[in-house]
Amino acid sequence: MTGRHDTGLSPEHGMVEEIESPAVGSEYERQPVPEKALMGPSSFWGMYAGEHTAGTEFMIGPLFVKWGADAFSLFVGLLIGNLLAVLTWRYLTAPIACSERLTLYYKMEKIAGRRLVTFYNLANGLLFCFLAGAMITVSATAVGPFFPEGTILMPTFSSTMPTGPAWIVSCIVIGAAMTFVALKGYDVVALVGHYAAPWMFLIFLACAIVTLGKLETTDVWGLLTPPPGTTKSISFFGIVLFAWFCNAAMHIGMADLSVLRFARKPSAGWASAAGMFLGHYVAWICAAILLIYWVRERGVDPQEGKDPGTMVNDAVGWAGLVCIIIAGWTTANPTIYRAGLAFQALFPALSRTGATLLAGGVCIASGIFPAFAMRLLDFVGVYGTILAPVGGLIVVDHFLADRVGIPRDPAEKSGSSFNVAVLIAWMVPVLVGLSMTAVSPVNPWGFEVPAWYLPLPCTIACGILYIILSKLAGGRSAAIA
Amino acid sequence: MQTPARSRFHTPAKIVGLSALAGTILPPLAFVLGVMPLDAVKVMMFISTIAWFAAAPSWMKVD
Repeated sequence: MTGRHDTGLSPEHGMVEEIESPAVGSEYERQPVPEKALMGPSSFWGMYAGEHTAGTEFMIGPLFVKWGADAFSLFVGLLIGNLLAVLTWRYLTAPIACSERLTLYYKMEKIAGRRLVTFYNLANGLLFCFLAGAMITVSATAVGPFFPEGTILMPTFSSTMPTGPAWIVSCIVIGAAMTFVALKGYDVVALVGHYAAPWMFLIFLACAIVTLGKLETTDVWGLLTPPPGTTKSISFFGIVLFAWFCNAAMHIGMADLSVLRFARKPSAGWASAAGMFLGHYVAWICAAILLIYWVRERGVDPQEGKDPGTMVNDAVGWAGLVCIIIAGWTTANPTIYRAGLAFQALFPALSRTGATLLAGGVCIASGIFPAFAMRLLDFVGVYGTILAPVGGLIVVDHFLADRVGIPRDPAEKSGSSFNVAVLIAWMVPVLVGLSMTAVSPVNPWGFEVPAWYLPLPCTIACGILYIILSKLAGGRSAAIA
Repeated sequence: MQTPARSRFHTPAKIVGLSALAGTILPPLAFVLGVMPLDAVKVMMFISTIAWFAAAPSWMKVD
């Protein structure tokens, strides 16, 4: 999981200003990236490796154990799902990025209009806050082992509410520290993340190796095979789809246009393999092994789980606790910063400081409630379902508009600031999709679909609806408002 | 471009950094082989962590 999501927001510009990591600079927000600013593939390999090894990986592996995933699903399902994600980056996102060389937000502004992009960023900003909140939750579990046992009651998989005053204070302190650093900008944090990446990956590996030593086995396949009678709540297909779409907003949702537009060639899209196979394959399996030890040797109920801080401290000590804090911090920090920018664009009267404090406050509030971290798989699916469909609009605009006879960049051509066709094409599939999930308060369908099944169908539906509505608008312009 | 100080420390920092990475992953392997107790593994890994973050900024390339 990654928290890197560029908002492209600036109150000065009204909306589009690139907010980038140092790896890609902070220029060319409203123009194609020129030849002189292009970068070779090595710049992207390190970035993807670092950004997809986050604190939340310590939650996702154990959640697979909770859901009774078997060894074949984990080894082969994750392999296939991550490979599909890499192929999506390489053959869909990167070619569009290298052809257009625009940020997602500027491209969206050309299609949807400036006011509608602000609406997109509201959704983006709120989802950033909840994601950063989950990272605060995970980081806060690393505080517990520094105090006598029982001082801070740790949340379990079934926790939705704060576990006590000490837990709340831990989240507030960690969240406040993250917000304070976000106020200063996040260049330093991005640097720390860059330096931490290789070490962090080895800590994940070390956790698994030590755990194998404690279990006195090297039979990882056998360890990951659930005992007979285990209820299987996630199928092989479900794991493939989760691995493929847990970063749906980034690849089919086209958020990574903002990064890959600096790539010299679309082959830079292969760099995503570093993040997928180190962070979303090896790290997830290592984290799963941690919980299996606690289930087998310490009698922990897999449905309740064990907090990452306690498990990692037991395996590798303080180095692991530092890893949890840094992994959460480096990912949550830019997320808070960007959420602040999103809020500032919505409320231009707010200062940058005020907006970041507001975002930090929302993040801390959501971090105090463990529900977001403990239901991370659902949340990630919802996140992708809401944000990925805009990628369908961009795919249609880039590849199909001329063939089906609708205008490219319609809002720009018509001068519209709010393309109703885009709003309908985006919202209808998202609302229908979300109503089928477990997180929906109302489900009229009589069946439930895991949220991470939905990004692709919603994206395709969004693209088709956009074509139909644009054609209905007369083919002159899809910008009907 | 590297500053003179950064350039001067590049090689020793690189040696320390790579040793720190080795110090992060080798002790767990030693534990599995039964040649190092877990408490020593934890101490070694924490020292390696400090060494890594002390050395990495002096030699790791940032684009």
